[in-house]
Amino acid sequence: MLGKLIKHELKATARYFLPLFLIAIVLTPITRFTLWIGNYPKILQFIPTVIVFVYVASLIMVASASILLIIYRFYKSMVTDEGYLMHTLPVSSESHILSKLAVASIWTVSSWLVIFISIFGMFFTPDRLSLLIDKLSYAWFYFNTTVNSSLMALLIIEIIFIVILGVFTAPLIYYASIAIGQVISKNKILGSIIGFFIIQVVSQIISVILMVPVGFYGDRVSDSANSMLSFFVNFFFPVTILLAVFTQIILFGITDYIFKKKLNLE
Amino acid sequence: MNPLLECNALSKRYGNVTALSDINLTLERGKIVGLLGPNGSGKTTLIKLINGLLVPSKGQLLINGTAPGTETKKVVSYLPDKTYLNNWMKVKDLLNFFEDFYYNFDKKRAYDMLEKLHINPNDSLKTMSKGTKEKVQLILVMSRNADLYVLDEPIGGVDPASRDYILDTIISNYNENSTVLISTHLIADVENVLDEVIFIQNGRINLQSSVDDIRMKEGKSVDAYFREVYKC
Repeated sequence: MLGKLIKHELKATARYFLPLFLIAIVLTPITRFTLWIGNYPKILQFIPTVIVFVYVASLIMVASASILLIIYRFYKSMVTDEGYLMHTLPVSSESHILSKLAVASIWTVSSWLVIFISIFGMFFTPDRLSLLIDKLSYAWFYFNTTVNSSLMALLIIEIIFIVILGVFTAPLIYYASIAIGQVISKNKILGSIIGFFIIQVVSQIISVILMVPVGFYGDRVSDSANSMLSFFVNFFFPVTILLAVFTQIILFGITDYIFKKKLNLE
Repeated sequence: MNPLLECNALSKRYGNVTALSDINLTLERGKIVGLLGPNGSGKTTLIKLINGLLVPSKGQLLINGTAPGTETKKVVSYLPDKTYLNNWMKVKDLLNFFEDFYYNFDKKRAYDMLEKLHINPNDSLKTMSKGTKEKVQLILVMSRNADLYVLDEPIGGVDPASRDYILDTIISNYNENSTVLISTHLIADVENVLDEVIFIQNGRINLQSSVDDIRMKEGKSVDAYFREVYKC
């Protein structure tokens, strides 16, 4: 059932994302070509300006669309009239949330890829690429010679974890806000906004409390690169990861509990 | 065999407002039952409880001996009094959707009914009138081989000419093991198909009786009797 939910959710969202992605990808060579022509007569100089503007706007759209559509889809299908259909399917509320989350992550990551490909396509030349590779290999060499290599490996793994977890956190915050919103207010949109602020305030308070011990540890860190790095790798990042996992479980649990016990469709 | 639907001391409160209070009710298989009551009497609350969209405040509700959940949703086919369909979908997309999620969905039956009511499966819902959408919803719901059909105001927005076809559809699509629960204000229209009626008022059940008994004992139609009981 989870697979079927994901399939239908992908279908329902692809009709927004694919055209947007296509626009950004198609505009890339057009913009580059327009700029490559260079000398425009005075009267035609508006052309590159307009095209660059449209191109940048399309990238901004791609970057912001995923989060906006993640919120919109969840709201529409879970707590408005469409909820009557979704919540009476023979599917657990865990599957509903997981399917929405999976599809949200797929679109978030693909938007990053589209933006990356587009920017790469915009600025790529062999010279620039080899310059970039030079700089990166120098940075890599510098790190390798100054920093303990096992710390380095751990650092990379932890950063990957943080990025992956980061993809899930934002949608889960919005899901919980929407779930809380329909419980606390007749006006579900207003309620969701209040729910969002409640979650923000609570998580701020908790992270401030948790940052106190981090501050104490941080005071004992010396200035050497290895000591700094080991503070991050052995303490700060693991705490961040644990905190993220903990937050996500709580947010998932709140949404799931509300859908099971406190659903309030009109 | 467990009864199809069983409510024991079932109560539902929203904050301080009591929507249902101490309901005891048993529905057997193979009946068409009218759930009749004025606005705000608790009909929709009971229906939402049956479908697991609400959780009881007290007491219990069992379908085939199980509390509402994933298992009961497989065998309950529910028509809400809302348009719950995605506007961007085509009718045939919806049929595929139902086929994917409900193992008891009979696609052929759905296509037959669409044809009878002159609805094109390739039309998208946003081009349809409210009444046509309601027909599509009813077709989806009645094309399932469910144990319990719960229809909340199934004919309210449909023209009288189609009402007869829809009622016929309802009668001809349920079998001896399934029961249809219809909530409606339009008693006169459905009266002839009902086996049993439940009168509900202020969150309590006033009467559960067979239609024949009402006609025999009271000497009047259910519609006339309803008007008498609920006279303002």
